[in-house]
Amino acid sequence: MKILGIDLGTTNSAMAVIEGGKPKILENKEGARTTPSVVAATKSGERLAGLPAKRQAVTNATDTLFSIKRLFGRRFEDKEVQEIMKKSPYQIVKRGEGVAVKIGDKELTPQEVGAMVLQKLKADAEAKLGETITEAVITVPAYFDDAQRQATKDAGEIAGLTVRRIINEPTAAALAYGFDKNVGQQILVYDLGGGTFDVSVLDVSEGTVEVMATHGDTHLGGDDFDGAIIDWILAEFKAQEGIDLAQDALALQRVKDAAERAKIELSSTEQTEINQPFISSGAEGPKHLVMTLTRAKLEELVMPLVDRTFGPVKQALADAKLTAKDIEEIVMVGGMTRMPLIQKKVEEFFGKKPNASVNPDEVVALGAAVQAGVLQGDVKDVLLLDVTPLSLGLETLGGVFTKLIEKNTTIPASKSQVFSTAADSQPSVEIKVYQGEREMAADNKLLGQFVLQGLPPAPRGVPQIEVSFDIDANGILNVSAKDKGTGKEQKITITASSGLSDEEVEKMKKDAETHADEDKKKRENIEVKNVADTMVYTTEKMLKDNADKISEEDKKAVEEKTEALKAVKDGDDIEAIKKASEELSEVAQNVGAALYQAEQAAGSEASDSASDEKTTDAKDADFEEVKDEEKGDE
Amino acid sequence: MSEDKKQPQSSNTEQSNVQAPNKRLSKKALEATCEEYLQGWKRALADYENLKRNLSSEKTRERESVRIEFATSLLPVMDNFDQAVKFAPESDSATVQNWLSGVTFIQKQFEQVFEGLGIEQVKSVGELFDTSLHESVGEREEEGKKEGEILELVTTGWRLGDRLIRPAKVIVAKGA
Repeated sequence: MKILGIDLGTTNSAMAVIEGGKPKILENKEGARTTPSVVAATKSGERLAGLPAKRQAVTNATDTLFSIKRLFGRRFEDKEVQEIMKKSPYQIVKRGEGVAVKIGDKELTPQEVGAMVLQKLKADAEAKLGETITEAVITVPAYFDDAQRQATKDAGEIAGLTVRRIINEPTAAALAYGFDKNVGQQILVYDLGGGTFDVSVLDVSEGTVEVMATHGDTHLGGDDFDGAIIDWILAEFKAQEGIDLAQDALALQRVKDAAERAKIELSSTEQTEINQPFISSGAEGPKHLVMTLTRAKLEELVMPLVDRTFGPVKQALADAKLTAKDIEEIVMVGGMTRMPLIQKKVEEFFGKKPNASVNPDEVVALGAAVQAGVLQGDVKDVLLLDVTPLSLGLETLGGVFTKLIEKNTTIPASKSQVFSTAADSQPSVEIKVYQGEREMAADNKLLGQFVLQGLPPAPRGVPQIEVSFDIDANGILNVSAKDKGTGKEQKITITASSGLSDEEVEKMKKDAETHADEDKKKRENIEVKNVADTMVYTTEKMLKDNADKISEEDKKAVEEKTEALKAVKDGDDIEAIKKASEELSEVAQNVGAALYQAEQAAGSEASDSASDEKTTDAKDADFEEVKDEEKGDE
Repeated sequence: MSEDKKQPQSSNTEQSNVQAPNKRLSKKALEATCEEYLQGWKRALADYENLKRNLSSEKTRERESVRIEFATSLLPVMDNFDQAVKFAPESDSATVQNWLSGVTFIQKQFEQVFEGLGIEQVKSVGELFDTSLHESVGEREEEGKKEGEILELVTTGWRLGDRLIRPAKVIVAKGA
């Protein structure tokens, strides 16, 4: 039974579970990795949660509830509640000591509304995982008091979830990075979300992560950054065209979208084009919004906002009686922290790089899942699967090491491959089993060898010898070779394949690294020689098989080039071999093409005659078949 | 060889005779271990089968996602085409009109490329507002229209099969 890790956010929520020992974000039904924390009741009385609720907010403002987390565990008289009441389109009323919100013809407590978001997450997670979810770990801001934590817990219970633990968002972020193991360290979590900024200082001691101090700004976030860009675009456009786009709701929406896109793009590029043609219409026709925003300009626009975050940072450090130098790790949370300027400023302030490798939108949910994993206890490790430290393979033509089982393959494992002979009428093949990473077999460790005898005479390349490697969980390697033609089989069991000490393994790996270039060259050279060898063989075979069809002139040319290649192919002048091979290839191909054409011509002549004259003296069975078919068709 | 083997075997038997209760216990333990291994083996096989199944469905999804990502990057261009056509100059000049129809053909072609990828427009005007497909950006009263009916399309929505790429932004009819 899985425990769901939930980041119940003010604007967006996310969920994750442990899968295969690692936390993994679960997508919601709509396919998104985060879910808007929005709930609505439609006019027909239908309840909506998440993205669908958000999509109808504009036309159903009074019955669409958002930012409900701000009301968790609040008393009606709280300053925060009074402020929210002024701004929110939905109605907030007094209920006992606390508050309730009106939705449709009902009054709900904030917990009940939160539960609707959680219910949606639960249902989507169940659909995704195909199992029932009954337990959860939910995160809350570090500054939440007991009443607010209790409200969060209640929301979970109403949604049908046993809340196994409520953990702090910054703690979850630290867990996602595995920093709970850094005993004795102080960690600062910098969380700049859509609408709020939180900073927390954590102290990691044996078995616990304690929040030493927390501070923030409940009205500073990504929305303010977008706002700064939007204002700039509107002002620029007004100066250029004399039109105030803020007056046109649809144009303003496009500016908002463009601003957000520009902000995201400028996290990875130095400048971006804001391009919204036909945004408005003036006296002399349509107007286009086309302007360039550089990262430098963007940074100038948002610098005051970034600077504002350092007030709370300093305050939190002071509360924890620490200085910037005392902080060992800084964890970035919230989508806004992707902005290079913010990362740079944080780095400047602390003198070290902040941690931003885990997606800052997901890090809290992932951390909640890590906590859930600890609570659910990992499945008993019945089996510890081992890996092969080095590759296993055999020697092939030219002394090349051909790997069958690559290093770091989880064992038990098996692999087979079909090989063939290198010479005509080869009576046996020798299987030499090696272990190592070098390209040439001789540079690796020979584990064992055997000979498969009694191959019937056949041209090279024709016999099919299946070589199988099978390594069991104890590292015992069985190698077998089987001639598929005769069924003859020979095998060897190697028990010492795991007999290498760790040092030996390391040494062999290092050797492979240091010799990588030289080995590659060597292998390439051998391949060139092998190709040359094959070419001599096939060309001579072609001459022999088609002796009567090849003109003396062609034959002489090919023979000449073949001799030239033969003269160099066993030497060490690789370039000469390559050149001779190419030259032979060229003349041989010409001859081959001529042969092929001649054959085709002969073929079509034959089939022509077959269909036209209906002769019966076709020489070949194939032709006879063609004729039959044609008859059938007619 | 077989002679050699026999001897230690007989001494083994003697030993195990002395430790008979131990042997019985170890048989039980052995059975338990066997059961554990069998369970583990079954689990591993099941895990593997599940992984294979998940992989293939994830691959399909992955392919869809690539298409969606590609389409998403082109959507602003489509939007601007819509916008350009909306702002078409009102002129009787044949040259202008011809040029304009050429532009609309390009727009059509774009849509056909999308259709070829299985990406379709979300139906909107005349339909009932549906949060799984549409996003409301405004409302107004209009005679003869029932509440919730979509009156106007502001930005086209797109879908790939059951997956919504982007909802259609619409203006809906307000109840009287």
